[in-house]
Amino acid sequence: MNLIHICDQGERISIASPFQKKGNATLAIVGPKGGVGKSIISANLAIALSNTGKRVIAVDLDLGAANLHAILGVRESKYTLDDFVMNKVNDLSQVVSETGVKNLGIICGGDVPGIANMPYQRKMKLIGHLLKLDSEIIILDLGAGASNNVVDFLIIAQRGLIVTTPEVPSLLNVYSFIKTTIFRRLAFHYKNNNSPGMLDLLENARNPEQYPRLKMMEGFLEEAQKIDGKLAESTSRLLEGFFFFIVVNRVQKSEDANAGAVIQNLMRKYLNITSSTIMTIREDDEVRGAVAKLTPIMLENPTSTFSLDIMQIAGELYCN
Amino acid sequence: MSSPVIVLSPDNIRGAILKKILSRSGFDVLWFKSFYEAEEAFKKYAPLVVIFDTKGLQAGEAGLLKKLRNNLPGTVIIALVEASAMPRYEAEGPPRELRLPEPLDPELIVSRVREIVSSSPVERASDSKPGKDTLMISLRKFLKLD
Repeated sequence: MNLIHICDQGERISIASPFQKKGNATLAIVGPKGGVGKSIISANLAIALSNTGKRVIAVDLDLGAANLHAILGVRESKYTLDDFVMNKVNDLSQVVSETGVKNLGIICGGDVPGIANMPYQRKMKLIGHLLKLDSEIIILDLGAGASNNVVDFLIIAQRGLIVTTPEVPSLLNVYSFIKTTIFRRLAFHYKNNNSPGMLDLLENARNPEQYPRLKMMEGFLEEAQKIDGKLAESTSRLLEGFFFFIVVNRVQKSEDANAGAVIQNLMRKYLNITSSTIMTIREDDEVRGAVAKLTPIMLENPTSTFSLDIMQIAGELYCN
Repeated sequence: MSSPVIVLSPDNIRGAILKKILSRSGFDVLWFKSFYEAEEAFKKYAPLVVIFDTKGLQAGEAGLLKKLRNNLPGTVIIALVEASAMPRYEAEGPPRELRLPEPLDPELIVSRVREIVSSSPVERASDSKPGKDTLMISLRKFLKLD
């Protein structure tokens, strides 16, 4: 089993390998560009998975902009994630509220100012508790952007689901986010192996105008080979281990579905990421109405096109 | 998804030139220095085109062309062969591949690859979807990948 060691400030946590297609039960859902429907997908996917009889906990990690509880129709909760981060509650499991949907619990986000910039030690404590939650499936609803917090929560999950719409701005953010995630993961790897040479190379790769050869991961690996053959090989293996589920949301016409294939091509060509699955969710006007009523569409209309697409994704993720 | 063009060249300079010129022309390219290294890629991608550079190969390695032919029945192989070595490769049996004589002519190679790819029904079906090329070009431009 591969282990990740997150230790960018001296601390270290070891967890199972990232982004495996099958096996473990922590699913991170991220939408690098805000407003792409990530939280709506998280909420409804959580319901679809809980309908299979599995215990599911949805965690609102959109720090400072929490709304998962509203989408799930949860109006009150005794505690929120903020209470745990602020040390008002000792154990994260105390923060879990029931949603009214069978088998589905939620950890609601709060609204304490500055919570998105929680200190490193608190983040590590939170990660430790998240991984110990007693549930068959844990869904992490992450915030937009590519901050270290968002990327780290994705890295600790066993599966990463990246939500985009077919438009260019969102696709740009997806590619940049994936690249950021890979670079951060590689930085952890090189720090753990005490390789300043590889860290320098990684730093150079952030400046493609000055180092055009490093624009493609293949060029990076060739240069890495000159610095440390073993680390270059382990880098290749790490890249092979990455697996992303890419969800193209709000698909209106058949060409929109191409967006996933384009990202897949870019990932393969420039980042050496060869493993990914593309899934699509059709545009459905009923979603807006359900959100306005603070009722998940999976409950409001389980046979809507959105609900059917969500169920298909749930099946792809966990039931096949 | 289009399959990559696979370049098999033991020569560092020629391999790099081929890879660069094909990449610049918009092809996905994988370059390997030995048949052994390339085998996994052959299995994984079933490439439409393989460019087999014979420069620098030993006389006993002429059989590699035959091996490629047998392993990749649906692939067009472009063999780059020096005039003096042509008889050696012709002795391997009737050519199914294109044989381009030396010196290395990258533009000719790109044009041959383009002809092969554009005439492939698989490529036509998968890559001519409206909007896909435009989207790819836009993203590469904004991400400064070219």
